[in-house]
Amino acid sequence: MYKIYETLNGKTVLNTTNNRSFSLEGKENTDYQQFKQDIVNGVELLDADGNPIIGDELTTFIGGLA
Amino acid sequence: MPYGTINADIQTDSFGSKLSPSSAVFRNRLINGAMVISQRYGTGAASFTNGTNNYITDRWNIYITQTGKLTSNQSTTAPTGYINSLLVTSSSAYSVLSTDIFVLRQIIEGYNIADLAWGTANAKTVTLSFQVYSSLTGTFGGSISNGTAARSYPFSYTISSANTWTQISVTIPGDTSGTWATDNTAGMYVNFGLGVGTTGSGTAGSWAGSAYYSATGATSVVGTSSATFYLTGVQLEVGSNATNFEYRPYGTELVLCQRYAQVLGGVANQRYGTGWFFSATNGYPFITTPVSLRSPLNVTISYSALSDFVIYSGGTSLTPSAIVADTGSQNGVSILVSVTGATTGYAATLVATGSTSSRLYLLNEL
Repeated sequence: MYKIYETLNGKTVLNTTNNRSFSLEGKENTDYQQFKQDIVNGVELLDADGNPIIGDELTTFIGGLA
Repeated sequence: MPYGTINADIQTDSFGSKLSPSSAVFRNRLINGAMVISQRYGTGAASFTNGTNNYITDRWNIYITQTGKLTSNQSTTAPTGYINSLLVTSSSAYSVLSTDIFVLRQIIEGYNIADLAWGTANAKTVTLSFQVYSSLTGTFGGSISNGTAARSYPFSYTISSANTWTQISVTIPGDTSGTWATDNTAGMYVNFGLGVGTTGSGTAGSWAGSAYYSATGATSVVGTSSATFYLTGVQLEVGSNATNFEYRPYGTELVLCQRYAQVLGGVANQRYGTGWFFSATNGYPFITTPVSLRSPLNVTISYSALSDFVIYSGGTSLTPSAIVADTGSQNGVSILVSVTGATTGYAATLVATGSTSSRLYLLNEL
């Protein structure tokens, strides 16, 4: 499961399974690539408050992944 | 008696003999070739994720396409003159699929191979040497490839005696084709096959415009249950001959590794860094790193467990609900620590909870 946090400098993704986080700016980051693959495969994505990101919001988010 | 002389263009030893260029220091393009640095796990077992670079000892990772087929850790089994090796142990007798890839490798940054002039007519010959020990015998394989794996050179080597350290040397002509990065991205992959299917295996001893990770017909380590494979003393240098392994000072080797990965903490009550609270819930401690990280800075931050950390602020201790990456520079990293009940503008110091298990991992591998 992943959670997205808004920071002062953009969005950061936390993989709650292994406590690893990385900036969404880091497109070459191995964790980012794994994240992209997992999200496309249906792994749950939450906002910082723990609310699921679903439906059109999720579709838009996936569409924005490099 | 003079101890040797250094003129403008010639180095000689104390007997007046000219030293060859390959005897220069820092001739090994690989980092942590003796497997002595293991910031992430120590000698503990590494964890694995499918389809990613799983780092074991620093700079050395294992790429897998199937989970649960092997384990790996830093080992104290080593040949004379070494204290460590990297151990891979097969978990089962697995028959690799045609597209399977199990490979132990190091990715060399482009800056560190720029002088090889690969991809040009002036490409230099290199020699890869290493010490290997396995419960298996036979012909094993590996490869060298560029950062995009569009060019590769499979090689093979033989282990004749089981459970015996064997010195291997492979000379590889420089690649006059392809694109070889000479910047801060992945310049070269040095692969040791642990079980590679037919798709990723190629003819040993020649350059190919394909992604090959090992040599055709090579022994599969994951193919035999409980098989072991130890590797150390790995050196890649310019020239056609292998020279003695360049055993660099531990501190130097650690610094070289920290360009790509820094594991901070492990000391009770350690102060990681101080910043301020931007809001009642968001604090931004800044951690100054001991070594400049590789750029571009796409740092992954991870931690041992949230319970290993607290935030000191305004005379109170706050419990974080999350620690995530924010941003940073090559010389430091800003992290977001989420709490409740902080005071905006107050200082925020990230501290270990008195536990030596408290660790922060700053990772910017290739």
